[in-house]
Amino acid sequence: MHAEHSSLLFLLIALPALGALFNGLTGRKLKNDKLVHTVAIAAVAIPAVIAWVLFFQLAGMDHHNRALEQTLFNWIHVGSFQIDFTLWLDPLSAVMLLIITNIGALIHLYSVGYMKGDASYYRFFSYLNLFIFAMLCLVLGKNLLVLFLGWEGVGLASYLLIGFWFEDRENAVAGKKAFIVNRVGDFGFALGMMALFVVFGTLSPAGDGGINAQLAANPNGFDTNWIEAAAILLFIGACGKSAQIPLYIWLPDAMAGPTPVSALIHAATMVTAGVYMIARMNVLFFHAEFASSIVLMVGAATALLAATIGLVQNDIKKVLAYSTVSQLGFMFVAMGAGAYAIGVFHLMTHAFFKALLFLASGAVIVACHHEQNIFKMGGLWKKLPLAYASFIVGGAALAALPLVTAGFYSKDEILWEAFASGHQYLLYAGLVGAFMTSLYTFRLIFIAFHGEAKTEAHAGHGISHWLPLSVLIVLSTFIGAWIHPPLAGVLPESAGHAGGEAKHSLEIASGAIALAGILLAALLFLGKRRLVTAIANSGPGRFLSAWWFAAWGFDWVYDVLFVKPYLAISRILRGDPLDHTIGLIPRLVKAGNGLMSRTETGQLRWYAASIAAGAVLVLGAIVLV
Amino acid sequence: MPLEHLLLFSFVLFSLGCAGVVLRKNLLVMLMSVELMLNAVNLAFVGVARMIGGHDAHIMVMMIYVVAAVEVAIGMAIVVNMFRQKDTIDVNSFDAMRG
Amino acid sequence: MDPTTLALYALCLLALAGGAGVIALRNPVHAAISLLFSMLALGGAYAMLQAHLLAALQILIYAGAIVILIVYVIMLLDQGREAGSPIYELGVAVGVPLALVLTIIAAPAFLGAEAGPDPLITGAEDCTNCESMAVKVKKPDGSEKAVSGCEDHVDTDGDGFTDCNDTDCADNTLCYGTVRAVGVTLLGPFVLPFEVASVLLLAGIAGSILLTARRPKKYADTLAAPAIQPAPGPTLQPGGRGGDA
Repeated sequence: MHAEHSSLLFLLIALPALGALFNGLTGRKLKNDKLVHTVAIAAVAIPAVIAWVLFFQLAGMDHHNRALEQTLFNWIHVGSFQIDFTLWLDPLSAVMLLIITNIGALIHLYSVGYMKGDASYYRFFSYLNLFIFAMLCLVLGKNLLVLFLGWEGVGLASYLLIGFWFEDRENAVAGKKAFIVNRVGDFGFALGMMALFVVFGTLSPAGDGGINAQLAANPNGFDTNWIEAAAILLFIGACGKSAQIPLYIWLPDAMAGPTPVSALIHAATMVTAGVYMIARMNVLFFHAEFASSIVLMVGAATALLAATIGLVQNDIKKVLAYSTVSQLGFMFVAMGAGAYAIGVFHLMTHAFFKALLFLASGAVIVACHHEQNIFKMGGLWKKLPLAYASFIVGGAALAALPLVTAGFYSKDEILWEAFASGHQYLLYAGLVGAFMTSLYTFRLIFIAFHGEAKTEAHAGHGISHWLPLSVLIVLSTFIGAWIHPPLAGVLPESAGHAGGEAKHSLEIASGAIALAGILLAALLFLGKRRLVTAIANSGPGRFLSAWWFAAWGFDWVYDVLFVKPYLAISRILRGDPLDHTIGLIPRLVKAGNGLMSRTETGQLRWYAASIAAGAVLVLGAIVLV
Repeated sequence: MPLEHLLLFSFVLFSLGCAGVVLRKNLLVMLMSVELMLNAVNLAFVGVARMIGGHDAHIMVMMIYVVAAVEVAIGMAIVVNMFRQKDTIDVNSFDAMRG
Repeated sequence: MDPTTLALYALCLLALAGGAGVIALRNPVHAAISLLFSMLALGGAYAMLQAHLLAALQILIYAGAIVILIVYVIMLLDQGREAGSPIYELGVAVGVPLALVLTIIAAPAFLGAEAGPDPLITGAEDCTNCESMAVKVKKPDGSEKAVSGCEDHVDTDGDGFTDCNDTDCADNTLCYGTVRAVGVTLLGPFVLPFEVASVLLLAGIAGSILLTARRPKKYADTLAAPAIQPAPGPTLQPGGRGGDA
């Protein structure tokens, strides 16, 4: 396909970068909070406008050549390894671009009110702009190396933002954990890139001569072992970034960062980078069947596992974190089943309602004077009406309440694709996951907002408070589902599975399950909760809740397998054993010196005796030898 | 008397002198042992002179006498000086060259 | 074995005994006397070996000057009996057996030579071998001549040998080891060492005076000094003056 040149693309990444630099370098000196957030919001809002302009430009282009590109500079030219820093806008990246810039702009606006009065106000917005810059590099990169630049950049921004209040040591530790676990995934990603370069000679998925084009033209001309290996390695990278088993452990700890960070990074954008990457490499994964089935199964397992953990959490943000992990699992189920467009659709709707839920939870936390334990909240529906409405709408979308929510449409498609791709047990797993999703979501809502009030709550105010929440509420309803991403031509539609009777009955079944979950939650968690307390206090109940609370023991296993040995080794190496071993030589020399200097006693007789002894030895040598 | 016997006597006398230098602490006795060594050499010279004819070795012995005399004189002067420094001529106490 | 050889052996053994006494006796005066004894014995040994001048010089220089000087200094420094030290005992305990062993090992090398002519000729035979004991003499006309012990080869005392006891030998003989013979050699080919030895002696004299001389007091010190001052005791610092002038 032939892509048109666009001169506007670089602005998309240049403006956030400039905003980050400006705020980072001058923020402390100027001490002007208004200037800081004006620059920061402009640095995201202007790209949002440009994004819409470009989107409509794309929409008007020819179906087959729907792409805009702009090469910024030659990045790496080493022999046959030629990488240019090229930005590429096709419908897939346009969808991501719109999500990132628009939701990013809303969250920037929300942060104005949320972070008001913070001592490092400028630093926060500088980091947020840095994140937007890196994320846009990720989605706009034409080749995998630019994507990887953005990949690492969002990891960096995530680390900086999770540990934003680094004076509290636990926040810094959580930031470190996120970065290190991400790094493990990045290792797989880098190996995958190398494998792709070996097989295809290029790192660009899209465009003429790209990986997708090569594979489409010559499906059987490449070694399947390499293709499978590359796909699995790339998926390992996606596991790290998108928090799948076994690398999901960083996301719950990442809730130590400020809530807008959780909303933007760990709900809407960064964690979806893995999904985006697989969508980008869709032809590769389509031809790598074994890898796709691994993606499918890991996604399903993660969805279920995270749902069980979310069911027993009592920190409001942790519940939402595990629900993010679970929903990402659903997205990977779609990707593994070959329904790339559906996965991206669910990504979009999830971005809407998860960002909404996080922002609303931030409002709740601040209103309850930084109290995050839901069992210490209660009766908030009267005091915080906007937050309550956000939670109801967002929670309903999360639980995929039929017909009225955006989540219903996207999750439903996923379940249908999972079923139709031949893995029928996945459908049942998906239904169980959907049931648990609505169960824990409404558990959260009922415990936090209903019942008797345990804390005094003060609602937030200001345009920075209600505007983002309202916009996201609207988007989380079925209106959001109308924004069906125009991915035709970029991603294959669902693998051609027809709808029909089976699909309708599936829709009805999933709707019923969602409602059943809500009802069960109401039964168990409204009112006095006698039944659920009894279950929780029983033997198996206690065991299960303890095990699920500890994230199925993953943290403990990693601690024993990796952290403790590493710390033991570094404790051994702290004494610098190599230096001591090499220091043996000077010590030997010193000992020899000590020995030799004993012969210089200053005693005359000793010297005479040594002369005599030497003479005897020499004479003996002469005589005998 | 075969020459070898005389040389053996000279050798034993020389080693007695060496032993005296090493074993005795008194500086003066050490000097006496040095004189013993010189005399042992003289004895050897005289014996060998007898064998090879000529008086050259006798001249050598006379030179050794001169050297020994001068050496004893200077040595005594040094001993007296050392005694003035340390009030003892125990050679163990002169260890300024230690280390 | 003729008496001369017997005497030579005896004198050498006495010299060894004296040497052993030097290193074994604790009192330094006893050691000096033992050294004297050894010197005398060596002088006698030289005499037995026909080194007559050297025998005389040995007595004169060693026994008569050097040992006396050593005894003077021992008296001057008033050293008592030397205390035994561990290394001394150890040295004796280790060294004496070691030396004996070494001697027993080395002795066959020295003692086993009975073959060959006896190079040491003693007794009255020396002048009969004057031919082989020839001394080269420069005659006034510049030529060299090997002069035998007896120039005339006339046996005047009728003992059957032409040796130094013959009267005409006694006048112009250069018998082996006599003053005349050694003197001829000394003032002949070896006149340079002779002169250098005198310079060496001069240096020795000057050196020994310089080393032991006390610095003369400066006039200024004598003025500042009080009338009565306590005699400084012996100090033990390096460079300090021990004792009083």
